[in-house]
Amino acid sequence: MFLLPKGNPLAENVPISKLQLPDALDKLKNGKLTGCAIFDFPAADCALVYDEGKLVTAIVHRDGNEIKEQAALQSLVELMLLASSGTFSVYALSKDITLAVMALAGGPATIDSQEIKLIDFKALLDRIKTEQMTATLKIYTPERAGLIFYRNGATVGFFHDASTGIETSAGEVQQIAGLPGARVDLRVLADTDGFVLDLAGLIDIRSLWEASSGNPFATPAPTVTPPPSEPTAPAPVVEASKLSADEIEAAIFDLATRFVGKLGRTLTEKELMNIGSVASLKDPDKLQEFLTAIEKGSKLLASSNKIKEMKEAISAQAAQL
Amino acid sequence: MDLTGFFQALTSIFPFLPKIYNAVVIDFTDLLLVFFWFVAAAFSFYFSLNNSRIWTSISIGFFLLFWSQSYQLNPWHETFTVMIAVHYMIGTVAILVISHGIQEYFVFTRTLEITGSKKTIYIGTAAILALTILVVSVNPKPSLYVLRNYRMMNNTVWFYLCIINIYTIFKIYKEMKDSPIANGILSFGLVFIFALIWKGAGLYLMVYQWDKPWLDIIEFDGISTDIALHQGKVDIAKSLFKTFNFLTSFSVAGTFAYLFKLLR
Repeated sequence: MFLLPKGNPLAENVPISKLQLPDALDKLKNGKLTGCAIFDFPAADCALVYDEGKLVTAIVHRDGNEIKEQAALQSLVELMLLASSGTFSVYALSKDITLAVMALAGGPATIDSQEIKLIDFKALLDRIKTEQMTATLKIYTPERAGLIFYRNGATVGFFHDASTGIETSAGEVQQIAGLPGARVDLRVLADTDGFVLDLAGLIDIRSLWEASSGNPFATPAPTVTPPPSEPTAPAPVVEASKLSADEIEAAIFDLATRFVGKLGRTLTEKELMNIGSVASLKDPDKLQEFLTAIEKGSKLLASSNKIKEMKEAISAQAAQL
Repeated sequence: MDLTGFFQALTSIFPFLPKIYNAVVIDFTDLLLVFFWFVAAAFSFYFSLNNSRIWTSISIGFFLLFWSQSYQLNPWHETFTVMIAVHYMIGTVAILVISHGIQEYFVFTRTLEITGSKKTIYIGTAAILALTILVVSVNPKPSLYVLRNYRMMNNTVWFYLCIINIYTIFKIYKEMKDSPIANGILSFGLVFIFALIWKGAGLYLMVYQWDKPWLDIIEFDGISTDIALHQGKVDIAKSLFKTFNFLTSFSVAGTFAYLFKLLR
């Protein structure tokens, strides 16, 4: 069972027929998504994991096989163009959960399909803790599946096939572990010394998409760009500025939650994605566009006084950019 | 409240109006009920002006409801049977439009998208009403049997859409329970629970032919009725109908006043 966690939904069950893949991926990148995008096709599933807009893992499950990274992106383009139906969803996740999801989608299997009753489960949990693993433990039976996420050995969340969001208690996942024939996979995030390649920089999705959609009989020739010889980490000054933008973005989300509630935060995330990124708020026109958009949606959630206060507070935050 | 003098004076000013032969006495409770529907229509109209387009459907729905309810206060309403049929249909269209608004609200909480325009809603509702009037007009003048059927259709549509609305409102509340107006939305759920019992009781009486329109029909037809054998059930259904009719209109006005406070 291919199971990925659902966080705050930024888009849910959007028909793929309405989707232009390169534009959608650009939006996720520009919106600095931390979370995952899930494509659900009749005969395959695809997950793209993003860390602050960087595409860090891509995986396709098709005919019982796993296709990863660049090959997965090529496969996704084919699926998008050939599948008659399918849906697309985007979920924002916390940084901790995202790292654990990276392990789940792309990490090597330290333990692969072991029956729980045949292993020392307590010792396994101790090992995750002592070795400070960033990992995902998948517990499953043919009918059910549950996930436990770890960051540096500490548990950061739970998810199962009936969850609607990340859970903080293990109850349901424990029950799955107690089912007869339950098995376990442990996928650990490989140590990258903090350097992770942006897959979007390795393959030109737009060219691939245009080439494939232009002539369906042509064999798509992926334009693979060589991996950068050095990490693409920005210069220290730029990093400081980015950090500051991240803090402002977080503050804006907190303001939306405080004034309008959880939906207000999701609304703000969505509208921020629509205008590009938090850095776009430096432009007065973009800021106005953003404030008008969140006001329109917030009118169904909060009073005009609260919306006014929220807009003023967000404008004050944006002025610090 | 005796309004005979007022309406007689009206007929003398407007001679084309049918003469008033019987006393026009309007029950104070009926007047209060229509006033509550008016409050709901006025508040929802205000929301549709100043807030989001999604309120437009709900607003039009409550306005139509107020219209169909207030029509029954006019002393000539039984003179024009075509108009009675049309007003039953207006009451039916009202719940359809309100439910459409609630469905749109639910879609908004899931996708955060607001699509469409106010103009489409206005034109769409006007088109449905025009079609309704056309259907009633091109058919034979409604008999008492036909009017009762229109009323039963109204109760049935209300009953089932109330169930759907209660479920949808619960789902909306789950999505936005930490938002400032969440309790206002939950109050709407209460309104539809009251309306479900009100219309359900009315439907029950009609299905078993214990309702007043049926008893009026058979009064001179010699058709027998088993109402005397089930007087207890009939009394309970009638009191539920009356109580929850009042509670529905009262709670609608209260909910809109509460939402007004929350949205101000």
